[in-house]
Amino acid sequence: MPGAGALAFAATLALGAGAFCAESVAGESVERLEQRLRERAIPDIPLRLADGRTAAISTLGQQRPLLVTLFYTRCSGVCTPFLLWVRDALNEAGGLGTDYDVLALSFDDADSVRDLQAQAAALGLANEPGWTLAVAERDAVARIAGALDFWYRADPATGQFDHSALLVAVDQGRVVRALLDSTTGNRRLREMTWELRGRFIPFYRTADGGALRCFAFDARSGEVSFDWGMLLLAAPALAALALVAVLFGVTSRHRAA
Amino acid sequence: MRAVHKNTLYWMAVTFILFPVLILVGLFMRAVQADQLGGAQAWFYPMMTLHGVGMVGVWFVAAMACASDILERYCDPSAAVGRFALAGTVLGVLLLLACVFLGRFAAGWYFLYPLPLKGEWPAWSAVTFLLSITVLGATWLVWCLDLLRAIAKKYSLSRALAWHYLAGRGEPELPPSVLIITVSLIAAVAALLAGVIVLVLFYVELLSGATSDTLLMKNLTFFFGHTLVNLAMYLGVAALYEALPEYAGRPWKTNRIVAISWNAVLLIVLFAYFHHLYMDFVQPGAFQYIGQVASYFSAIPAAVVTIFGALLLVYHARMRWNIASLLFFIGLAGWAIGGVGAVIDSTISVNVALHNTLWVPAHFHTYMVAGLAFLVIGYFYHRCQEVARVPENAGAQAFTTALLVIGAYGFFAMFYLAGAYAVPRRFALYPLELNHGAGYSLAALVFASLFLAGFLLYLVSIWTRWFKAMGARA
Amino acid sequence: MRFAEVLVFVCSLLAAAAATAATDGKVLFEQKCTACHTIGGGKRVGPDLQGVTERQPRDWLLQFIVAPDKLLAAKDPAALKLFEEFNRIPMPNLGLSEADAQALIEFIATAGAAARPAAPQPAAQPALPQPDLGSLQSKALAVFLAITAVIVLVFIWVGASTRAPADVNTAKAYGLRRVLFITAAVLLTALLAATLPQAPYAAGDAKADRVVYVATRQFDFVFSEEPITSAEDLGRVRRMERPEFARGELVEFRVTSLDVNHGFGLYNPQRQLIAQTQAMPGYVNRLRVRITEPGDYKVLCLEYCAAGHHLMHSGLTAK
Repeated sequence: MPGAGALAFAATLALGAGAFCAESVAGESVERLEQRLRERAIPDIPLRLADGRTAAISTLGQQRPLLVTLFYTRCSGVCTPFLLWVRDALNEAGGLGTDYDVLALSFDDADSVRDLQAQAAALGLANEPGWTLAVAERDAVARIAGALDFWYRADPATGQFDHSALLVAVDQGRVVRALLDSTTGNRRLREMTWELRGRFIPFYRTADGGALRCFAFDARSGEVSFDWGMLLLAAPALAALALVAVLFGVTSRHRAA
Repeated sequence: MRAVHKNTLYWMAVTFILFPVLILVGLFMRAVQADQLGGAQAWFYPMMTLHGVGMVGVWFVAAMACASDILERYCDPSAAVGRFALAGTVLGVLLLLACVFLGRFAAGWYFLYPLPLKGEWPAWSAVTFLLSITVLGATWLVWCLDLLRAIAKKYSLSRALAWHYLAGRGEPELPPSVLIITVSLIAAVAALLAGVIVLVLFYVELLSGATSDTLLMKNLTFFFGHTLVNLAMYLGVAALYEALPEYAGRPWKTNRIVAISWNAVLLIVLFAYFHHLYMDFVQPGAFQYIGQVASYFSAIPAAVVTIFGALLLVYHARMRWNIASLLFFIGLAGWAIGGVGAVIDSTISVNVALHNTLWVPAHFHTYMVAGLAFLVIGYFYHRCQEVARVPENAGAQAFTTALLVIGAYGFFAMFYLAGAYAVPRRFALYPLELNHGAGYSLAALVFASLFLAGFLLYLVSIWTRWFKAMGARA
Repeated sequence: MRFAEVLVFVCSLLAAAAATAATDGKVLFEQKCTACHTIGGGKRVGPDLQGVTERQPRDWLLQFIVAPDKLLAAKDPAALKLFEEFNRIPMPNLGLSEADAQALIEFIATAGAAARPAAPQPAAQPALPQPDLGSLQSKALAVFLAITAVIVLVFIWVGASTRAPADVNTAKAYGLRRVLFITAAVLLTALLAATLPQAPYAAGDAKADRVVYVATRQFDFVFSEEPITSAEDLGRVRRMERPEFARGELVEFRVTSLDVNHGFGLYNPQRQLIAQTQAMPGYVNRLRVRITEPGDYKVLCLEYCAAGHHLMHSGLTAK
């Protein structure tokens, strides 16, 4: 049986390695897709809001920049977890309702105001400042989806939609930054909120290197914190001081004698 | 009269041989840049690497030789370790020559990661270079630790750092040179340890392929390189504290202000290197600002305490002028002038326009050549003459000094002007848009030749004195 | 939904796999050759490859592309001649297979035929007149010269005083030192307060009008509107040969490196250095520059990066 055990172990390793590689490959292409959305103009479509009012996107984004995501209420797939993730990550990042607002737009024109209200209540967003749930006409949705390369298709067999996930930061009618993948963790979402809040971060990393980096950018606080490599950077000075202290300590005994 | 230790005399010989050779290498670089040596262009970067490592190394060991000689007056550095340092340095230089001349290694003196592993030179030459730096670094580390041991044998750490002056007590007296040497050696140990870490990470990559974080490596490399060069300058200043009073006929003693400023230097010198990374926006802003603050405030102990103190020492003094005291006095001015160029460049918003232009070699040549080198060769002459007591020819000495000063400052001026005109440093040839850089190179070539002539005259005048000092040993 | 995700995922994997095993000559050329060569664009670090397929036998080209180091070691006369002609910078072994080399040769042959005949190079380009000093640079030089003059005068004054030896009132001197100390401290602090907010990383909250990605490598700048973070990206993204900007635009350059440290130094049409940042592997520096005047801008590498360092330049245009 040890053979089978080893085989299983090797298989696990291979799977792990495969998953790791796949993630990095997919991650890179996603970043490029996101980049293509930058500076895209958002069509100013009319919306029906969860409270029954109608408004244009431009009026929603008049006061503050807007984070826009697309969903539909009957989704049994990624929509609810995605919205929950956005909700939690934004609560953590702060600034919602004061520095920017969120528009969650349903791309399913079958969604009614009542459906939106129910969804908001289910997600605990009904009384959240800064959150707006809305639905639009089929044509209007098609226009905005086209502008954002958002892809959706009704599957008659299941009654569900096949669709991608999307979160874009919009300022003055144009995309500032886009996020197509929630698996990259909260870091990039927080960086996105920092950018929306006008905070300039003069750098970013292209790849997650080894453990010995000097610094890490903490997007939650917008601050740079020290990483393990910093210890290595401080080590020479500290070691020199310690070495000299020991040297003088040891020699002083000879001196006394 | 205190005899000169044989090791010190050997160090002088090493300096007297290597310095002119490395000046010739520098002349070669300026000639290529002036478009005078078209065919030899491929040798520019290997020679640049040799010139850089060579000059940094020569002036570090020369300044260390001064420090060791000064310490012999107050305590007892090991002669065996001195010989070991000499042998290690010679071995390191041989390895360096091999990798540059046989392997055309050309990653620059600061061998910024990962360039040594990604150049057009063969892998063995990169390994030889790293071995050379390892031998030099390890040897110098042992040397520094031995000098510190010698100090520790006589003084406690708080005494050696003059902390009793901070507390307001002037007894027991501590020579300022010992204070400066102690501070510099502690910083040297830190710098060399940073070098060790860089080298270990290089070797790890060579053996296992594990790459390192480029930002971390850059920080460590400049902590190593900048600090080592910086404190070589301070060791030269220690020689000044030691010898200048003998020419001025006045004492120059440690006092509270001197103690405070050199202790502050120990702290400041560890942070000043950040100014090498101003144009790396990935470095946290706080570090950049600390870099500018540290660079600015390193000027106060230097300018207000040492330079003011030295000027006060000379002011209306019954000064005995000869080539040594002239070089001390002018070397002090060179330190100040180079320092001004450095402080200007260490302003982040100005660095945007000057970083990696010829302004950078302009200011460090000013304080390394017209500062440190002047102080050290002044001290070498002072020590040889002290023993040899050969009658001096004032006219010839003034002429030699004038040649050195005119050659040096004419040469620096070309760097400063070209730097202000945004001509980049480390360019073998200039692109069409910046080909005025070639004109500056040509003028610099002429001035540097004058400087070399001045240095050869200096060698002529020290020649007999060095032999007499050698003879006095036997 | 799930199926779609998997589908997209598999497609991207396949695409990536296809790109890495590419036998597509154009992609390979972008990835492996453009750092040193052009086709009809003139010499760079290495020769212009237009017409090379007619100048050299195919077999030789194949051998040279696959293992240039071997040909050079074997003292092949053609390889040696190139080596000497191009400043002894050897063509590196790029680890290409014969199939890759074959694809490259095909691409070079067709692209070379398609490229317009190169404009005749002006025989000897005349030296341009010296440019004016940049405003920042001239201020720095003026401050430096002024302080240097003061230092020189003080040293001459003190040196000359030794002609008339006398006792010095040290108490008075220490008083002067105190004044100097306070003056220096106040002056430096004021300078810090005035200059620190001017740091390039402090001012940057304005929204950039344009974002341009800059990937550097030995010895080439690659501009693109999409991020380039690996050598593989070079064949996938659309490259901007010479970016063009409108006057007054705030441009954000996102600068990174694919191999060693490089520098990105931007020279304005008057050949004054107006902005720079370092290019470091693994990190992206965001450099914001307002393009205030029209004309041709030059980009130079400002961090030493081996034998072709001084040949590593590029340009952009502002209208």
